Amino acid sequence: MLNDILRQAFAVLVIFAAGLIVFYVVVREPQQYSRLERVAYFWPLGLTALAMPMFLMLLAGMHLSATVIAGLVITVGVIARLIRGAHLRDYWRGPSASQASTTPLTKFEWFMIVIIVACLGARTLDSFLTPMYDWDGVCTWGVKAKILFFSTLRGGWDYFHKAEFRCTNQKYPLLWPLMYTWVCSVLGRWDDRAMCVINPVNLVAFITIMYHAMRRIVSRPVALAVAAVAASLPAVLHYAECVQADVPLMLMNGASLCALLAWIQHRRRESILLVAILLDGAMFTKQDGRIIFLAQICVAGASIVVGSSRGERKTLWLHLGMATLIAIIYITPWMLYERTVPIWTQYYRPLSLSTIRWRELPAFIQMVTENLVHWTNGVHLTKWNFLWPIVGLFLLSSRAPWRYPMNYVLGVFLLHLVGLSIVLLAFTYPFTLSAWEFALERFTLTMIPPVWLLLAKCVDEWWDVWKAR
Amino acid sequence: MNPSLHPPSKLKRIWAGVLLTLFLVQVLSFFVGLVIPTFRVAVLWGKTVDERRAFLSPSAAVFKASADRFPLTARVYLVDPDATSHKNSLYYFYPRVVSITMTDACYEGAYETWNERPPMGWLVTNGYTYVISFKDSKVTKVRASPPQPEGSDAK
Repeated sequence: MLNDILRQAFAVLVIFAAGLIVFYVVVREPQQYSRLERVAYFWPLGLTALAMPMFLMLLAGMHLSATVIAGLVITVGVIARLIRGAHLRDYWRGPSASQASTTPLTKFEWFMIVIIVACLGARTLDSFLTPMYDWDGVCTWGVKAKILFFSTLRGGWDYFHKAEFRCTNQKYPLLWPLMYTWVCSVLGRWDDRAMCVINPVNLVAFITIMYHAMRRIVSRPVALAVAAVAASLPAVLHYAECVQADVPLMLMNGASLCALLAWIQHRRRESILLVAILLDGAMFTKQDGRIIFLAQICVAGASIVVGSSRGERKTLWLHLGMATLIAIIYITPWMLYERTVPIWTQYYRPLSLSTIRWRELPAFIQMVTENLVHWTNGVHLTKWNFLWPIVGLFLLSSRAPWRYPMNYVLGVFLLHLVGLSIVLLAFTYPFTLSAWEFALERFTLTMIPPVWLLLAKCVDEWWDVWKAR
Repeated sequence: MNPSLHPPSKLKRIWAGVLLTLFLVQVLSFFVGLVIPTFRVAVLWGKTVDERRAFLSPSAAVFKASADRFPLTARVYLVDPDATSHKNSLYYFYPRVVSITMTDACYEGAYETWNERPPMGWLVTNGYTYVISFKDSKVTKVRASPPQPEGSDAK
């Protein structure tokens, strides 16, 4: 038992360590982030940094070895330290130019903190107890992780290519299954309960990153209140426990969006590099990650065209070009491999103007609306509480979302929404909520990070109005 | 906005009150989400992993228990598959090989059209060691000689 806990902790720590190295190499001004925020960023960065070497190892026919991966992380860490020069202790201890307020917490703020800690704590404890049981976990993500644990991508080639196994969604990216494989490799056995130790970390890291990003643009009580809503949302809490890649994608989307917002506001190169790496993570987590990549890169480009002076444009285009190049180089091995997997056209037709079912748009909109306003889903799990009508009212009656810099955040959300809608309109499935409900819930989760930033800004705006009585 | 220069109108203040009240309602609905993991922890606490699995997904527990009865080198041909038996078997039986087709056909969304009952010779030639029907709760060991039913408690 203790041995298992130590091994699980080691598996998680190696991911954090990999993220620390990436952060250390990329971020020259760590004081821009609070220490807690830095640690939160280590997680998605570590997932991204480890996933591709793991994928290449398995593609080369090598089994995932805990010793090799840990050795790789240590070696790269030593090289990074030698090249980068900055002493890690100084780097870590440097002052944090965060928004830390010296004002004591009010009772309301304490209450919000209790909500956040209770929700994250309950979900964490639950994840430690629950073995994998969810349908998509079994059929799509868990089965891939198990194949990669017992075999390799080369040895398990048939499972990823033969028509018989198309029901496992062979084209789905492998970042998240690889992490389960990693935990089980450290454990030395396949254990679909112990591997779930990594599930709650996504949500904890997400809430931490979003809170700090909100704190930069709004007052502390508002940031805490919106973070409490984000941490207690029923759908988020439910999917955080499942062996599915949607919460990891939500994390990648949220973390890269926060870094993008920092880049739009301050134009530091390290921010756009973080965006590139985190978008790589998004693209290697789920196919929707490509839509997020396009949305954020387009918005970054728009911010250069609209929101920068002529003198700085060349530098900013260089930033964006470098980020895009890094993203493409990272994801290329997966894209090349993915091309060897046959396209499954049973439910989906290749995207083109002729395959998009524009006539079905009203049914599609009705289905999406039902997903957003229904209290429970088909298995009687609560979904969003009253979130979406409230967000709609705030967005329509506030000025902040339409002004710099939140208009760019809104742009990312709208581009993601439009891009995903176009892709879904090419599916041949009938647009009824019963057929799409769970998929829509998950798509909504992955789209939600910009909503938290926008909601925080709107609430802050109306809070100012209320206080001005 | 500078409140000292332009105090908000009464209507705007009322609207601010309405919006903030609605937001507070959403914040105070936190217990709806909190119930999900809390209830789960309360129910699962003190149970073994297999008991927890059986509570959360009885069918998953059945497939896992079935899979554990076979050697890891088993090669299983699954007859009369449906989505539940096929997908659960793929996961819970692995690394045991599970197949439902002689022709590499995809039956996703069309399991009712499945009709690939292999002859014993084909099973022997292709190295299969068991034929399982969850529909009939039947396991048959593949042998070169005529097949012999092994039991009726696969499920």
